[in-house]
Amino acid sequence: MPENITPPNWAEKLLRNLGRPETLEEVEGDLGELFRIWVKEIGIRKAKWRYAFTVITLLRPFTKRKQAPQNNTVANLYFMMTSYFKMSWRTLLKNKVSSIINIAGLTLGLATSIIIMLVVMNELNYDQFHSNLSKIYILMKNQETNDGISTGKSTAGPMAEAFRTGFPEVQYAARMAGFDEQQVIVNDNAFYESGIYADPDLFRMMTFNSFAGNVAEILSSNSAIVITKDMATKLFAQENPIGKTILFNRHHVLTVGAVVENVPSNSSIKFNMVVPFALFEKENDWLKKWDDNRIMTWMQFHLKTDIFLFNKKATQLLQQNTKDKAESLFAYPFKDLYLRSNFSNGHPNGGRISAIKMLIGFGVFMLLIACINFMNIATAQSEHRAKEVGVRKVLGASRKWIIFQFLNESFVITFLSLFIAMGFAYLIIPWFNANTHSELSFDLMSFRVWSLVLGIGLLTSLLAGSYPSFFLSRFLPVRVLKGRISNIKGGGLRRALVTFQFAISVFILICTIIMYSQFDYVRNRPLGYEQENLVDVHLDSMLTAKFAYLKDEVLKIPNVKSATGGSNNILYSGGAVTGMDWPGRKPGEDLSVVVADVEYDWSKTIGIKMIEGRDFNPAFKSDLTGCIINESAVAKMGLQRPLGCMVGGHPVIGVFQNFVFNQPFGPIAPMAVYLNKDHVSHFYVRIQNNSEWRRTLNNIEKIAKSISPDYPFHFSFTKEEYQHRFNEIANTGLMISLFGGMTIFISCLGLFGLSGFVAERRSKEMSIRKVFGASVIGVLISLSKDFLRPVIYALLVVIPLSLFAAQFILSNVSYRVPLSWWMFALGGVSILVVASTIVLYHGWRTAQENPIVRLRNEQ
Amino acid sequence: MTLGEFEEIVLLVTASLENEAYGVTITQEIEQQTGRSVGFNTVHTTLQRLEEKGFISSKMGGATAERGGRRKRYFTITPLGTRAVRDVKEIREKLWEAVPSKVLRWSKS
Repeated sequence: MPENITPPNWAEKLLRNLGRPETLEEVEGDLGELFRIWVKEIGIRKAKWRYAFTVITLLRPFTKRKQAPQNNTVANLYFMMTSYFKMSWRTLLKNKVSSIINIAGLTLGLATSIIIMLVVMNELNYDQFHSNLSKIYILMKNQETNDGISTGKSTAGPMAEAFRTGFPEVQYAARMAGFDEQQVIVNDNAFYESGIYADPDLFRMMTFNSFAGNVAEILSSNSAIVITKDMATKLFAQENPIGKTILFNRHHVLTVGAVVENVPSNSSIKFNMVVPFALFEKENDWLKKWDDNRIMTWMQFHLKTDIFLFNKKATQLLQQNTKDKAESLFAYPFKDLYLRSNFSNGHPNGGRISAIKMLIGFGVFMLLIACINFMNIATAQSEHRAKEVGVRKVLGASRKWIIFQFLNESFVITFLSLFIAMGFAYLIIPWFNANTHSELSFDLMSFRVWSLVLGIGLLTSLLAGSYPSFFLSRFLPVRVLKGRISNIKGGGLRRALVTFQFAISVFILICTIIMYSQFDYVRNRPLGYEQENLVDVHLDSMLTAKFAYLKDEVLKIPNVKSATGGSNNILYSGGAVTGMDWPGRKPGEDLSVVVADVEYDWSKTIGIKMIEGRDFNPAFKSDLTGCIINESAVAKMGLQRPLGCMVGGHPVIGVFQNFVFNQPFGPIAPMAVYLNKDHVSHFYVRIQNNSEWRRTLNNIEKIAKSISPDYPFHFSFTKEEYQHRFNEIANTGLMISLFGGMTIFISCLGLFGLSGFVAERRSKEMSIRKVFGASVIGVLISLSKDFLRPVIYALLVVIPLSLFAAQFILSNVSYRVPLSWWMFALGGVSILVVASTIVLYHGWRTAQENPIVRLRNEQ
Repeated sequence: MTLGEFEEIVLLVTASLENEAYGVTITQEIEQQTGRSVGFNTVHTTLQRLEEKGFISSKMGGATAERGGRRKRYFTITPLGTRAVRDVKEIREKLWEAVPSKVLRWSKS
């Protein structure tokens, strides 16, 4: 036969590469023989084609053997599943220490995740109960000042009416203002209640279901109010409240027109009582002014409204009426109001949503750390399991089934932990709610909660089980059964995972230390006034009217050193105004200044130092129009000689030292204080620090009651109130550090299990070392080296990183603790000490053992 | 276990070729005996299937120079295979007997 009569080369190669290897020899032979026959019968060209065609039909996918059907029957699957569950359970019981470590770690991680999930769900559900939510907007105002644009919800009175009449895209528009502690008299019993004034349209847009009466209609009249169910019970007990009359604020006789459901805890708008806005309008002329921004304006738009266009029109309307080009208006969606309420320079800039993202990240990290524990322990134990895998494979288990078996094990452990974690979360939630002022509920009847919880469990078990199952199923039975597994890979990855775990732990620890020092730093911040022994008594309108008499009488009490009044609680000093004028003000310059009204003896009673000039003095009649300002105002306005300057139309008669108000962490804003006893609603009394303080307070109460008998005597010690408020802020921070502590604990738990396991595995090696003369220290070093190295790597990586992060976070805080090296050193060293203790504990036990114990038995 | 029509042919041809039954001869023989053209791949997969079912067994022959040293796989029918073809034949015969002769009269010639 001539040389060139051979089958096509490419077809032969194809057959060799893709044909079934077990029949390749005879098929190749047969085809070669057939080819020669075909050449004779039909010619070379056609024979080649036929050869190629036959080869293609013989490739693997076409000649694939059918799987033996008996492997897939339902009955077999059922028996295998029960067998796997039984095996998982037995493994769990056999390795008690590692099971406990795994379950403890996963339980903590899952319980935290469940709580975080509930917090996040609660936050995301905020305000979602309104059925028209997507169409409701709140009017917000941008104000350009020297420090950039400041954004707020306070708007002018006439806006809503103008929208209603002149803006066709606005379906409803409503004004709203809150009130505190207004007197409500029912059948001669006086109550002091808080609530809102609202236009009827507010209830046409918002969803607050009514039990009786049409809320919007009731609010259209001037003489009826709406109350919540709880309020109805409080005021009228079991009686039907509809049609009953109350005396509101001493002057207004109002009837109860409607009762609505209690306002849900996850609502931005909160009230017990709604009073028609018209009533509020009648008494307050400033509501007619375009430049007095004190109330909220809500709108509901028709579908497909161009909000951008609306913003432009609204701004135009405002600027026409105020002639102030620095102000602009925009509509902000109600659905974003709760989660994205921070504005920087006029643009939305996060808010609660960033905290939520951080929390979710936190939960994920915790679960990850718990999963890493599981992976590490499972792979470290692989030597014990390798024989089992080998035997299973020899008996016909495919790799798929081995993977399935180990995944099953991780499912059993994870779901066991999940149910413990659910119980845990259930028990811990009341405590959590009490400490963080939240209202979480673990609703076990909710499909959403269950599906999320089970989803978390499923993801966790997949994550935890994936690596071990792929790792363990890879073993070759021959090698494993011969006992040649000493060079099992996976140690490197294990070390990397431990490094990762400890990196996170160190990071969290350092952050916690910095957070603690920050709180401590702020706690010790010089306040600029004397908080001790300062009593703040709340006044109603009657007490304010007779303030001079009240003050005189109180000063007669022996233990009272001095007394004064103010429009605001000293801790939260008033609202800021803009547009104030001062000497040397450049055109276009503006400053936001906090204003407050006070009474005589203010600086003396509060304990604020005057730097220049003097406090208000009754001897000077001209003081009635004067003002005193703080250092910050002097600095911001750039006043060289502040005394006598006209600030906002009032001559400055004194400058007082900065004192901390509003935000314990924040900068001290410019402040201007005026003399006006008619606006006084807080009565400050400086009392002697002695055992008589109770009697002193009783005497003050007697005097107050003699003036306004119904008004409940409210008082607070300023220091106590400040600390309470401060702790509330600090508590949230500490809650995060509690989670951080748990993360560290889980990491350490994992290290404990891992190092214990390796110490045991290498115990024979260590015994031999000892026989050949190694010292206890030598054994310890050789055992701990493997584990302490990843921890040290983690420290090296994370300390610069945490320095960077801490600087970034603290840059948002104006009164911040200076970072110093000890914070990082403390974090690093304490993790190192804990890790060493754990590792050395096992090392010590191994090193102490009599070598003969381990060497005598040959397993 | 069922025996398909083509399987039956392959099985019978394998049996008829006695010690010379391998891929090529079986393919050739079927083409000659039945007159239809069959692909090698069809014969090959059928042989594989028959072996899986246990109707035929195979063993490798010696190396020969003409096939470039590649061995042939020889097939022989197993007792199970014999019984299977015999069963088929018996069923056919029974069926033939059951058919009244006049029904088949027209197709005879």
